Amino acid sequence: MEMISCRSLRVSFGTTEVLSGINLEVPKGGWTAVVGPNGSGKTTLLRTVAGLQTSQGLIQIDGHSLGAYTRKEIAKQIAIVPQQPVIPHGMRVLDYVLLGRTSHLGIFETEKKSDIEMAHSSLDELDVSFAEARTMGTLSGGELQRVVVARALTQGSPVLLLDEPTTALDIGHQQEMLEVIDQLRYRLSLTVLATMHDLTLAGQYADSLILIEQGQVVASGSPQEVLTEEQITRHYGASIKVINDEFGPIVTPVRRKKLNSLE
Amino acid sequence: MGSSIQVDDSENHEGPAKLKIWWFAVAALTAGTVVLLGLILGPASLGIREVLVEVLDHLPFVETDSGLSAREQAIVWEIRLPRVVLGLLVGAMLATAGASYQGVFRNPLADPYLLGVAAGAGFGATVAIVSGLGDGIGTFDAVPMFAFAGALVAVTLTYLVGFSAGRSDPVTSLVLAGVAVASFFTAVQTFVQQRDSETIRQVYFFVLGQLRTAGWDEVILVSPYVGVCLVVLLLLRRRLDVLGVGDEEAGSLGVDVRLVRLATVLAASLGTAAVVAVSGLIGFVGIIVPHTIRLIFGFSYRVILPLTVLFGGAFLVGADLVARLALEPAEIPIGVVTAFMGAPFFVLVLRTSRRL
Repeated sequence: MEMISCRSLRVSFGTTEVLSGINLEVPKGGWTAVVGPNGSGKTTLLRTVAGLQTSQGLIQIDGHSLGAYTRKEIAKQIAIVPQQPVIPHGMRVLDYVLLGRTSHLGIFETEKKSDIEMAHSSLDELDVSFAEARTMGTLSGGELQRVVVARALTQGSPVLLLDEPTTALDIGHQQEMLEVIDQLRYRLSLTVLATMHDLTLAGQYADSLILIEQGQVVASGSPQEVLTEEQITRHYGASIKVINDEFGPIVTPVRRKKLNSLE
Repeated sequence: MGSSIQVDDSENHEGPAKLKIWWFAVAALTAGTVVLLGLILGPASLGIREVLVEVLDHLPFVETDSGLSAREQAIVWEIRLPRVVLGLLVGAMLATAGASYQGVFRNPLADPYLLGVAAGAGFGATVAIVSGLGDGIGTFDAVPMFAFAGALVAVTLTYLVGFSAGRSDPVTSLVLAGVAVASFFTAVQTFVQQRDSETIRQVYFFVLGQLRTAGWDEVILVSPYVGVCLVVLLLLRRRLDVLGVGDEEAGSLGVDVRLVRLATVLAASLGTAAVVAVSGLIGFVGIIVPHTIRLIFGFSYRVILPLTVLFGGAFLVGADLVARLALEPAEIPIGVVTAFMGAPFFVLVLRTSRRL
């Protein structure tokens, strides 16, 4: 059963077409990574699936058309972790995470005990409970990323969209973050759609990949099918080597020629 | 002062931001004290006990005698109390409107006059004064009516221009539209005023703001607007917290951002237009009160807004007290006092706060 399904998705900014007919399917409980060179339309695709960008074509979440939902209903289905979240520096971490409950509250309602418990458990899941009384401005990059994911988790939505979830993190924190997301995916049966810069990490954590370039899907399938030397060289203009590892291909940059410094 | 600013964050680590009872009590007590001072201080000095008993006497089921003469009773009920109540209403409205604008525009410099309310009201008042329609006193006086109408026209214009202009960044385009509309109305107002130098003094008093002409008429005129607008803004306080993460994220969290912004701007502008019509353009309250509260009590609008209502009212009544007592029997324009007392106090809070 498909959880996310997109048919001929088109998005234009003025006269520039950013997405030109994207088809995408993510099964319930699956993790699909969107990869592609800079400016290929990855973030736009994610924002469109989240209903934040007007588009043509069909988007279905759990079999229902996204267009029929109100903002509030979409928020109950889809939680998104933006690449560069707006951080209200003076806000306390717990209050920030509780913002995730907004779609479950009436316009004049405040959080119930169950909402607060949910925020606490999300902070626990991401190992940042220790920071709950601090203000957002005092967090490190790694802590901040976890708190933003905790907010998304607190939404209680079955679909989790992540825009470059590891860009701000060092290599250890990147792996840690992706492990946590994978565990949450299994435990809470989440469906994950994530744009990812790092092809190795994309291949090792996602169970399927779509490669987009100039707003079109140019390859899709398992990591082994998408992450080939030939395709990456062609679409990224990169010189790389692919090493096969039991958890997925390892894509590493290699230098082909060296300038002679005296020349 | 310093110790009260250093609020310990760790003491409330298991619950969401909420208004603590004792904060509310402090705010209510401050407002109560200032109101009492407003009743007893003035050219005719009245005793605290007599005034308290006099007030109690007017409560239902209380029969007592304050010992105040008929003249002194009239001073309390017909002169000082309406002025104090008007001060509370105007201060509460301006401060709360300022706080709400700051939230909805995510701009610390936003004040209640951001979208052209002041310029529009100034223009309306000037037209009424210059055309000889109003003498500045009474319910059915043309000055507040024209000022109110001018303020509403200006804000509506700002909203229409701002929304037709900016699709991608509605906040910035609305603020810029406000700048344009305000400049335009100020220019026309100055032009109208220059053509009739006889009335410059009257216009000048309106621009500086005053609670001086206050009687119960003004209170009756503005209280329905202030009441409804304050209730709407207070009810929206959690949504204002959500807007802190930006339009797009607020949308992804399930908020209809346009609706919340429209409701907030509407309530804040309508309330401001109403109070400006009777009190003139009292400045600084809408900036200084909410920021001081933010620096002392934290950044959640669930805390800021209710406290702003009380402290805003108290601040303006206090400023009015200084305005009428400092150079007695002459009166200083209250706008001068709000800035003169407010600015140094704000600097003090800014320097001692650990929240920035």
